[in-house]
Amino acid sequence: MNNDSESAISPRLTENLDRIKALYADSYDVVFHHLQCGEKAAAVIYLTGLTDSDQLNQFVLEPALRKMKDQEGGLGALCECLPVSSFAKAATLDQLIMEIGNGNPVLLMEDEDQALSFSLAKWEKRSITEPEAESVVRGPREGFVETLIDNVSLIRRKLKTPALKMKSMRIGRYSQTEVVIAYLNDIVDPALIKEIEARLGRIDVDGILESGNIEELIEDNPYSPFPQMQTTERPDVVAANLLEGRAAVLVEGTPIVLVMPTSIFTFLHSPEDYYQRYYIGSAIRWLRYLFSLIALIGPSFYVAVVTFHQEMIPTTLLLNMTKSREQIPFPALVEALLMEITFEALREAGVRLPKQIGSAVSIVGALVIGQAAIAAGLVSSPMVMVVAITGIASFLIPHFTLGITIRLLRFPMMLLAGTLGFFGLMMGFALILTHLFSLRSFGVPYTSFATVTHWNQLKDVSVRAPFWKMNRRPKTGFWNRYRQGSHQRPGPPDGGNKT
Amino acid sequence: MEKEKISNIQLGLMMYLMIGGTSILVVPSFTAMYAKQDMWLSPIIGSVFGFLCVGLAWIMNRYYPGETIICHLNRVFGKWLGSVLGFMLLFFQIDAIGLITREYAEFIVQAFLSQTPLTVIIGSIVATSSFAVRSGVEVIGRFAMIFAPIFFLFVAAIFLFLLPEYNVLNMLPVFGMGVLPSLKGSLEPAVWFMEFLLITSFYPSVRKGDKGVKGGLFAVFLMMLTMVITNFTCLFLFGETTANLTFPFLSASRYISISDFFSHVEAIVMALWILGGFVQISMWYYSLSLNLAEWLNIKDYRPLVFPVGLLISVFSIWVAKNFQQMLHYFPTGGTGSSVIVLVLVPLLLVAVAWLRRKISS
Repeated sequence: MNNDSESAISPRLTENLDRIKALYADSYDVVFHHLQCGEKAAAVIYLTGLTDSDQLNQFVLEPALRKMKDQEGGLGALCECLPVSSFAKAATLDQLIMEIGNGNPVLLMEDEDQALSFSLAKWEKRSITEPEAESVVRGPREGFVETLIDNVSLIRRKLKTPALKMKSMRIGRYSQTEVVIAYLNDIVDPALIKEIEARLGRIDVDGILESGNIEELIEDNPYSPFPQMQTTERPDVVAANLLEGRAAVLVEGTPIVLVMPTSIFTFLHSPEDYYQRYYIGSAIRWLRYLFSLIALIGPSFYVAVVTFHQEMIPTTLLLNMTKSREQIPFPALVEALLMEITFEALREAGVRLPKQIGSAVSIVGALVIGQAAIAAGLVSSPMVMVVAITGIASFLIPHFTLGITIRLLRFPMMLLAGTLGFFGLMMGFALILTHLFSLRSFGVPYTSFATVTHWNQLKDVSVRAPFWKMNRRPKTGFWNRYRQGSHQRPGPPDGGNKT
Repeated sequence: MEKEKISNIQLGLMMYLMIGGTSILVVPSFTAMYAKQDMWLSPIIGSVFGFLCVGLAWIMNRYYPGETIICHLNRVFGKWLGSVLGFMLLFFQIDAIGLITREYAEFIVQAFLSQTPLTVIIGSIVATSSFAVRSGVEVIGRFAMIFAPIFFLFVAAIFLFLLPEYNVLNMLPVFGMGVLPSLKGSLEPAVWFMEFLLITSFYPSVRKGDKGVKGGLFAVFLMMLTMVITNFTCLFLFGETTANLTFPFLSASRYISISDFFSHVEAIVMALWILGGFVQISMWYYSLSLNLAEWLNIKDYRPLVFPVGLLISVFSIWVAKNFQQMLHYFPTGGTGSSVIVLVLVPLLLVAVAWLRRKISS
């Protein structure tokens, strides 16, 4: 780009206009509107689709033409008579171009080395709807949208404190995407914010179209299959995380917000755990832990048992299984791979299709193909059951990003179990754990509870402890330890238990 | 030096697993060989060596904080003698880790995967461990944090599940032959307890403010408890015939049958055992790589991990022609070399270091 002296706005209007016109050559949607402001010539430049032209006419052009007719004076006088709440002065062409790009009309005037830009951007946007990927039975129904400023306002509405900071930066050479780092000043570790800023500052790419682009460019271990940042489209989840001393990165143009640092357990928690009674929250958490293990090793466990460790199966069941496996021409491993790959294909087909057809695909897949495969002697019925349970188990993981990782890791586990039995399974398990134990998310261990005995943190991992028991923040906000008063446990009014 | 830190309790649990896995495999039959019905006493006597070794290592660590035993040897005995003694320790370590790996591999092949070649098992264990070792001591610490409690619980669970099968009279007469048999029998668990000396590789990684010696002593105690439990299980179940079984505790786990449903759990036993063994091998592997790096004066041990892994695989095949030969080695050559390298040399080391400090002050 130009350096400062070149990019400064010159006092001669025509020169400025020529330079902007050269930049916006062959762009039919840029409007150059010339007008006479009193004695001086002026021009308004804006992008048609992005600017509210009604308001521009009513609050900028009309007053400018009418009131300035008999007055002397330049921009200063103009500022005073315009009924627009928010405008800014720009001194360089770069700033000007950015304002135009954002949809804000700019006004240039003869003999002035500054320009005015009005916040009159307006474009079609989606209204706030229920987040589809993270639905809850109990809890707020609003989700983030594609407009950054709406997302910021959704968070602001939940946390009204001035300690809520929103640092903005622009990333992408061509896309110039606005990215906002949100955090609570009193709670967050300042080093974390510095680190996030440094990592975002390093990004030098053509364009950022989704927060996934950013996620991939700022994570700790780029080769890991595990997600190292939490993604959410729920403002309440972001607010809860900010309150626990984490930071969020919002990206213009996507409803998906990144939250960091994170641990693997966050991906197994649903916001609803905190809204339901804590017994229910804890029980459902355990269910999820169990089924995420099944999602990872369900089919491989079955393959290992059937191939190497038949003695583990109770005798009557073993007889039945042998009977059903008798006509199957394949070893259990091939059978499992066949079914799992088919299942994944069906799932993918269901996701990409329109919703109405998607359900049809799953019915065809589940009922017809399953039954027919058993009848045709391709797979045994226990295998279909194992695959179905594994499929359901993988849907129990509330965050899609972890679910897809576990589904992927299932395949190498099956190969190991099919070749080396339980031994292979355990070796695979050990490898995955080694990776998980060494993984970090913004410097915080991914399996942080296992590092040190933080009973405090276990309260929110092993169970969902009642709120009045969780007085301390997680370790991320260690220097501002207590998040609530110490006597939060409710009960009957004083003396209530005596009567 | 390693910059990653572990906590006191992690150190304890790591040391527990470092010794634990194999001790349960073969110790009961060896102790039964000498101590007969007094076999439950032997680990208690043998544990004296554990406390001694942890103490010796801690004293050296206090004298020269933040250094491993190879550095200590060099400092105390001078460069030449120190290097020779250091090489002796390294050689002992590679031999021992080869034995441990072989033991696991033999156990898996004999009990479960009879068709699989030994080398495949050895190769996969060493390869998997090498990743853990490269990831550093913190990762191994987290493994220990999760698996040591599971390991102990499963030993206790086997003991409890077998309650209906026990014949308590097997332990009588106590001291029927005097104290000598249990003393003789204690020599075998003592070898395992001597291995606690290798805690020297992990003391420098303990977080500041945590007294590593506490973790070490706790580990020795837990190990003693585990051995007593396993020996009791085998004694109550098999009596003196324990001596004739190769893996008595595994055989014991085959007896578990609760209401006909919860039976044949040995595959699960093996699964847990393998994870315990994985941590154990990683610990030894880490200790060896670290010591070798110190001995060669290399700052980072990580480039040595894969070459050392290859050595371990080769040694685990070289270490014995067959399983019988390996079992024969434990109560014979194994005991002697352990006593020399893990007790006598450190004792000498501490004594000379103490004298030097006396003289210089």
